[in-house]
Amino acid sequence: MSETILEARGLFKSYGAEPVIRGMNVSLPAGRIIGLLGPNGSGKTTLIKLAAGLLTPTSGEILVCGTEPDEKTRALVSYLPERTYLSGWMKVTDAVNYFSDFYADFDRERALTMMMHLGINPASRLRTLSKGTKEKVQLILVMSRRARLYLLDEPIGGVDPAAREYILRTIISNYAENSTVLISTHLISDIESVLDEFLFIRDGQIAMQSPADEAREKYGMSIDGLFREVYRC
Amino acid sequence: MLGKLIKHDLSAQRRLLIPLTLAIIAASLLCAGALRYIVYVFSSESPSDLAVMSASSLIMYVFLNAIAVIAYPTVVTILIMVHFYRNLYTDEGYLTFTLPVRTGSILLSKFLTAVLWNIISSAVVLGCFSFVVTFGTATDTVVNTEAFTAMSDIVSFFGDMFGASPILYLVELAATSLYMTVILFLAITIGSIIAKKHKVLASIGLYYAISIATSLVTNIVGIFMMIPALFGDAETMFVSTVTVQPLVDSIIYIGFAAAAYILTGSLMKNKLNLP
Amino acid sequence: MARLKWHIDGTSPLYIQLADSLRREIISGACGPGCRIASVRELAADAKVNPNTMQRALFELEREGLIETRGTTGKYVTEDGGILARTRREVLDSVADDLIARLSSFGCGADEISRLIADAAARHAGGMGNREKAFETEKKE
Repeated sequence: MSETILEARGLFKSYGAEPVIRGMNVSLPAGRIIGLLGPNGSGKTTLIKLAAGLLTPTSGEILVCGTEPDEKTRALVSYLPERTYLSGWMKVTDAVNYFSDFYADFDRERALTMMMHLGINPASRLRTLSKGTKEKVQLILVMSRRARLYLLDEPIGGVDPAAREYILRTIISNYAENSTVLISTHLISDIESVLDEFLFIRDGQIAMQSPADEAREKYGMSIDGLFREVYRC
Repeated sequence: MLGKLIKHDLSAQRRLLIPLTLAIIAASLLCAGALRYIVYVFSSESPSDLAVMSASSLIMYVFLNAIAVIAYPTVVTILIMVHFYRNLYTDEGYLTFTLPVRTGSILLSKFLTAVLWNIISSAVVLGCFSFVVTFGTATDTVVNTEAFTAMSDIVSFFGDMFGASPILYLVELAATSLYMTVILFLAITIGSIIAKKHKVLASIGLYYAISIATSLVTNIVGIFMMIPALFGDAETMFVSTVTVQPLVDSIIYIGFAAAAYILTGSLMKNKLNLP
Repeated sequence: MARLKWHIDGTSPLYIQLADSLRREIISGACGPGCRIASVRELAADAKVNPNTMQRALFELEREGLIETRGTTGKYVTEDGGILARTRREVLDSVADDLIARLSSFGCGADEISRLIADAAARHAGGMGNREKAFETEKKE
């Protein structure tokens, strides 16, 4: 039972004259945690934005659960960008209510429990929180949805090691058979034990797609080691 | 979903707009009181020096209040547009545009809430002005009903003289306000798409460009419409200017507004490019 | 069940390393014969790995008979003495292989290796005794 959650066919995306995604073909099944790995500027964020519906393709197709991104696919996709996208004046409870209002798959209890675990005061205004805490709040909101596709753009980038562990544990415990988590990151060694599969993206195309253990067996090294080999300068 | 969008837009906007509006109302109430005192002092037989001095300094306050009330609708518009820009074209846009709603609904919610606040601010300005004038100029009575009747007389005077109902001017006012709102939406949207830096400046520039273009069209149309009147006498020309012109202008404004609205919606959907 | 120790470093397939870690923990008594194994999710979260990968590791152990599923109550470590003894032997052989490989890389010959091990055993004499008693039953094959 493997439905294709995300698919790109001959996908092109250019910013003006600058092509970023060049004829990408990729297919991601359900029930996987997949790493989108590549150096900065390789097109990771662009691909994720295309899947989230924030960008329209220059040509080619991108499909979420078989449909082009629209308001219906947005209900199936839970997106965590690299930036703070909540209004500073909101309190944590306001943000929880906001998600609760718009997303039918939002698990309010779960969100509040996770906030409590991390010692986040629900009455505090977002702008008074530290950057790390704000990122945790956003992660909790995104992972408290029962979505089909989770798009996490650099979720562990600017976060301390303890929070990093919590984030990875949350991703693991959130695992569901009919949903897929796509994690875009350049911190491969921290995250590779969590991945089912990985994609190496280079020059706007998929250079390699493989299950993690298969690659470890085939190349006799960790994914991090393999990355350094493949992308050696 | 539209209802939810409206609810959240309003709760974001009212944080600043309600305190601002209450402040203007409070200041105007004080102003009415101050004016009344001034009138009382300067219409009494032999006011004390102290009374004259305090009354004179209050004149400054009345003057400032008038400026504040005049500026208030503009401030409201600025705050509405700042919220529009922030919610859609800054980092917040990452949240707004990934909501499971159509982009058309997002735009509609922004439009309806903007119109609502425009109506509220207009009502507040009208109310404060009327109150200050009627309460402030009253001497024996609580409210100076004469001032009130004087104002309505002035309005109907114009109406009778030219056969033009003041309603037409209200219509033009409403059309202009609608037009301005949508043009600002469009300017901000285009500005955020084409400008890498200085998006605000680009938006302001675009707004003026579009306004000038619209004025050009209204003036040209106006001139064309005057041509038949040229063959009549001066009075018919003046009358037609006063009666027909507002209507024609309103139609032009609404036409531009509709085009701008559609264009804004299309750009939001297809040309979105958040930083 | 006590906290388990996981030795994974990503340079070889994780499911193999996880299976190895589990075997060692079972043999060392952290989760001994008849002990109930936590759910796949809990184990995965504890080891910070993908549940699919942990599932694959458990599948390997079930194939060997080291773990068995009892109805709906969950997975348990077998109480079969034969399997446990064989597994213990495999684990210890593997540890020994690692040790020999390391010592050999310093250029030690077979005699020197035996001497080194005997001397080290003598040094740790006190602590080793307790563990020996615990596994007396296992030794009687």
